[in-house]
Amino acid sequence: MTPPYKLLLLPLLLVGATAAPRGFDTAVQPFLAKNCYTCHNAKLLTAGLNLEAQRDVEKDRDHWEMLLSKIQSGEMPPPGAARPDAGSLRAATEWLQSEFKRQDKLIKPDPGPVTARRLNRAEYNNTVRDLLGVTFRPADDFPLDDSGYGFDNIGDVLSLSPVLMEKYLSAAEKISRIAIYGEALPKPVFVHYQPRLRRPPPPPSLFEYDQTGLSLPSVLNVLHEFPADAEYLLKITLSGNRPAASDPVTLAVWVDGKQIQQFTIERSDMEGEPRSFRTRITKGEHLMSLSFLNQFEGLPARFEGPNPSKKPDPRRAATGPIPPGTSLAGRVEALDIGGPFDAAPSPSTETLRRILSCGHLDGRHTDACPRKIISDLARRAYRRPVTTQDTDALLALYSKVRGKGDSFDEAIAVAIQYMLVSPDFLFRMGKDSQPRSRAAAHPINQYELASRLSYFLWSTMPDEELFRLAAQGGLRNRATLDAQVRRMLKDTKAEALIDNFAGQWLEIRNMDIVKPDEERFAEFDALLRMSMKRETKLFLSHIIQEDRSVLDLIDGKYSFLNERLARFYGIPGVSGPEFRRVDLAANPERSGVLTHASVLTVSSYATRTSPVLRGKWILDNILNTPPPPPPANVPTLDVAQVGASVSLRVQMEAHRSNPGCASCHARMDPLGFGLENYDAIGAWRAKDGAVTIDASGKLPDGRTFAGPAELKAILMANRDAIANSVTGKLLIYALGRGLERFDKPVVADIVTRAAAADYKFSNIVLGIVHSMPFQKQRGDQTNVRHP
Amino acid sequence: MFVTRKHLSRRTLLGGAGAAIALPFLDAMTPAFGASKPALAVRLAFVYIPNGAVMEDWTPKAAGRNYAFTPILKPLEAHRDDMLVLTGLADQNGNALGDGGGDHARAAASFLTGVHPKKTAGSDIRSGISADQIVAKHMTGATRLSSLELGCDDSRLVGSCDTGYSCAYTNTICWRGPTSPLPPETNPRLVFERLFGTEDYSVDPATRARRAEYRKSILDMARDRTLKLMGDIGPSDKRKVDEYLYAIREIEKRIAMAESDNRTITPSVEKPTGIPIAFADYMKLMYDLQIIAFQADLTRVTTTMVGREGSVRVYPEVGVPDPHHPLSHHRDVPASLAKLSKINTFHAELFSYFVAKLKSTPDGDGTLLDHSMILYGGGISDSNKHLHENLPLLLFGRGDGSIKPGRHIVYEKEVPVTNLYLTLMGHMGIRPESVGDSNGKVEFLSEV
Repeated sequence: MTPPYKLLLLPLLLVGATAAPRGFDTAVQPFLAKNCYTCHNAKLLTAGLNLEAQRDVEKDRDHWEMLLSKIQSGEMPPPGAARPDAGSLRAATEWLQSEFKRQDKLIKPDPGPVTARRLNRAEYNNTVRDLLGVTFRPADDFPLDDSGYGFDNIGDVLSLSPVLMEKYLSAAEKISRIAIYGEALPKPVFVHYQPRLRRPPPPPSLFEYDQTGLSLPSVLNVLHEFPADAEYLLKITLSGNRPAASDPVTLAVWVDGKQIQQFTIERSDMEGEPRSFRTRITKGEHLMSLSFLNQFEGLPARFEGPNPSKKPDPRRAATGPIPPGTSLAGRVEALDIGGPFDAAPSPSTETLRRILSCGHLDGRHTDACPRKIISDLARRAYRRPVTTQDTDALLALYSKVRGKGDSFDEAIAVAIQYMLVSPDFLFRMGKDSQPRSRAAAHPINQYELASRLSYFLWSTMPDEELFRLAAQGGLRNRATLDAQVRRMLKDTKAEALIDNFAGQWLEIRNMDIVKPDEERFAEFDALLRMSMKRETKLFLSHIIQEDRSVLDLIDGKYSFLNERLARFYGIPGVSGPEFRRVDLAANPERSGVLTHASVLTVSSYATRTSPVLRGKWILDNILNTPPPPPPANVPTLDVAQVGASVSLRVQMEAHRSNPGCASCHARMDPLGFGLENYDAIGAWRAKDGAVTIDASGKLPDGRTFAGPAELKAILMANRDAIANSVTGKLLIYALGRGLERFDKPVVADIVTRAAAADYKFSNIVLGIVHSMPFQKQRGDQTNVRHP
Repeated sequence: MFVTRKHLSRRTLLGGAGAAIALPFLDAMTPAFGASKPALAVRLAFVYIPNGAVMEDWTPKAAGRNYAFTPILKPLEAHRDDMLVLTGLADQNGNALGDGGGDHARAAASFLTGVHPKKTAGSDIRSGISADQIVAKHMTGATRLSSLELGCDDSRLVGSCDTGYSCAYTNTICWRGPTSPLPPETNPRLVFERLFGTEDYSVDPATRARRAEYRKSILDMARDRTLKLMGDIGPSDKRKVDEYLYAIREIEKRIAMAESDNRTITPSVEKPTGIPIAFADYMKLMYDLQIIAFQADLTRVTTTMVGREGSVRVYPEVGVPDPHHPLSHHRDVPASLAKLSKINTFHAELFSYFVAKLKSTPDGDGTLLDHSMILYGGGISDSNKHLHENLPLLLFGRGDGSIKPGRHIVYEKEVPVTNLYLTLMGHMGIRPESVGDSNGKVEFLSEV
């Protein structure tokens, strides 16, 4: 067996004993001698480790940190060996901690190496939207951005291949034409939707059921991408039947949870029954739902349902129970969406206002207009003041186009086309930046600060207010920055933090692509998927907008539910398809993101849960103590019993009984087992097949818990660790680079201040914005040409 | 690679010959490429399967000519005379070699490069140049696209990829250079646009011509601006911006190439609207697009990733609702092995469609298959143990005519798979010193 860190330590074995700092020999060495040297000596070399020869705490800092965490958590000495005496353990850990602190104080502050960052897909789409008001999202066709350190906005990692460059070019052409001339509509097509093969189970009672019909077996929920603001034809086909002599029932058409149309269906036999209508729908992805309202009302009296029909019932005389399988409701069989129809392309006034800064929206331009329009646009596109070289080049292009006989509009479009592919647009670069030189750090200029702020909090270009403050030179003022950050967090554009930061950090972007097994999880339809995503999004949005403590992430006793999700969770008293805040004091098993269905789904497989995946998710994302990679040759486990009679926990016992696996799995698996009551799409279960769930766990340090509530309590016990983790990830995302040793004091400082303010979200964000790495860059200002 | 003035332009040759004919690449039209003068239009394609295979169901028992087809290879039985089963080739650089876990990332990153990739989750990814890109470099100027990279899996969006390795490693097998992975195109509509352009043919020719000229001006301006910018920025920013410059140059070359080629390539199929829902339809569409690309000589080297390494696709259509990657850790459980084998067989079935179509597409004096070398297989053999020896590999086609298919060749010791690439390139007239860890050529391909 090859413990993962053996290879890290191999070079250390070659290091001779060097001088250790003062106090090592009194506080640490005796502890090691008593508890560790028995195995970790030159002769036995257990796990490849000879602690007798290790004394340099500064040089081998990473190694000593790992040692500290292992003795603190109780992983070492291993189970079975004598426990260390509490006093000497405390002395050793305290000495190591204070030694680390001492070393950290000596670290020279360093803003770190930030390389030119090209706009990633989300940033490109948003920037085009804010620069020109064009909502066409060309970056959806770009290749996926490479990611590093968990995020897709890392400067060093983002590459620019010829394929991507081609796409930039054709996107620029398309966008500039849409901006000037409006968007050409695609040809109308019909898209056909049918319900999934497996339907959700019918409700247990005719009185207690979802009256909107949105979660009943009769519903059809589909997500459809509407290509334009236009008119669409919706053709609905029904099938099945209600009992003869029922009252008519209402078919409702919903868009994104709001009813837009109703039809009365009189016929009980609905086979092939059609309805259709035209309606205007806005561009974008919308959830279309077709359901029967109050579908168990108006049934013949013999069904003993609510508000029975008064119609004469030919079967009235029939007695005895209703045969099982009797159809009580029809079904929506198909939805065909046809369109777009009837929208003439024309440039939006919004766009024209942004472009035609000379003010002549009616097209009656003067000679001064081209220069004004072009230089205003370029300033915003390049996110800095424009130089004469910039404007001269653009005007030359404009004149060339006019010279060929093309119109003013065409010439402006071509100028925009250039701006969108120029390196000044595509890259965010620090002027005078020398990332590889550790020379004196200096502040980034005001415009770069504005860009860093806006791409951090909004994933888009600065707005006019930020540009104005930068132009006046007042952005860096502490009070101004504070006010700006608070303003930006309250703006709807801050949703980008949820989509891009949280979406990657908590891995919930994967909610768009997970495919739970249709057989096992028949109720996971488009509505449920959308509802799960929305819950987490609204929860995070609330934390940001209301400036809650980041600890609410783990333990906030509230959430945002609609009826569908509330029924899924088994939480009563929520009706209707709109989302609203729900107090969870009575339902602690759903408080915090760990027990959101979205997180539970993305940390599972398509067919079953995985305690390992979930444990790893917690270690990676909440505690920031990722497990090391598995060793090269995972031995074949001897699985005695495969089948529903043996629980997952028992099947995974070998993770812990095999010592080669235990060192990591002892940390991961228990966390995942604590969540085993939630199935692979996050529904609560007491049993997995025939086996009752045992959601207890024991951590390597000896602490035990039973069930998710106690697991959360254990996580919450170390609030600093959670804040540390959130701050670290947010800093990576803000800076666009991985963190290094010299960033540790920065993070620690932010967390300490945040602790005094109850770890409020805005406090952490402000801590990052005011921090040295955010405000400065490496390299000095001499020897560099200015434009 | 710049084309000299001395060559005959295609315009001269085609003169009155009309449009839309796929011509073999005549020697007279190529400038002197030195030692690497390309031969007749031999095509090369790599089709990569992820997560290994059930080798007991893959490797035929007998070597030589009359071997029995195993369950996974059964769908390809009709093509016995066009294929070589190659057993015993290895990709040693897929192994840990001291780096711990991460076999999927290594398999993908070393399969075509023969280089042990650098273990990193972030900034400093590094592998080598992949075999298809070595060929592509030689093809620059010969075809409109120097290569085509396709994939049928959405790349991993978020979360860590193979333990400790950046997702850039598992998402592709093609590397333009040691630090430049080439992402595969997964949307058939976009593949179509790469082949035939996004040009708006509804506009009149004069306007189209003007727009083309503006595009060139824009590229010139971008290049000039960037060169000036280089003076103002630090060395590692320069590295990033250099990628930008390289990309501009590549596009300018391609535009120049397209202009000197006056064939009007009219696509014979409708533009796909997107990714088909059924996987079989998706794969077949991607295979169809490659046939068209070869037929119209838009490119001569393609790579297709049937799935990214570590793919978690489910295959309910063949009775496997479990995600592929976890299933491939079968732990020798018979039920899991059976399901994994089904996936391997399904992939072989879809690939058989590709081979059949290549065989039925005329090309010069034979068929496309006759003039192609298609390698089907992957960088992992036993998926549970993550072995990189005895790789599952099949070679189809006759290349320049000297490859003699119809046999199961068993190589005695673990020969580097890069030796195979060196050999295949030789059949295209391309003779680099080595490819990654190659130490010579493979034998037996051309013997009977």
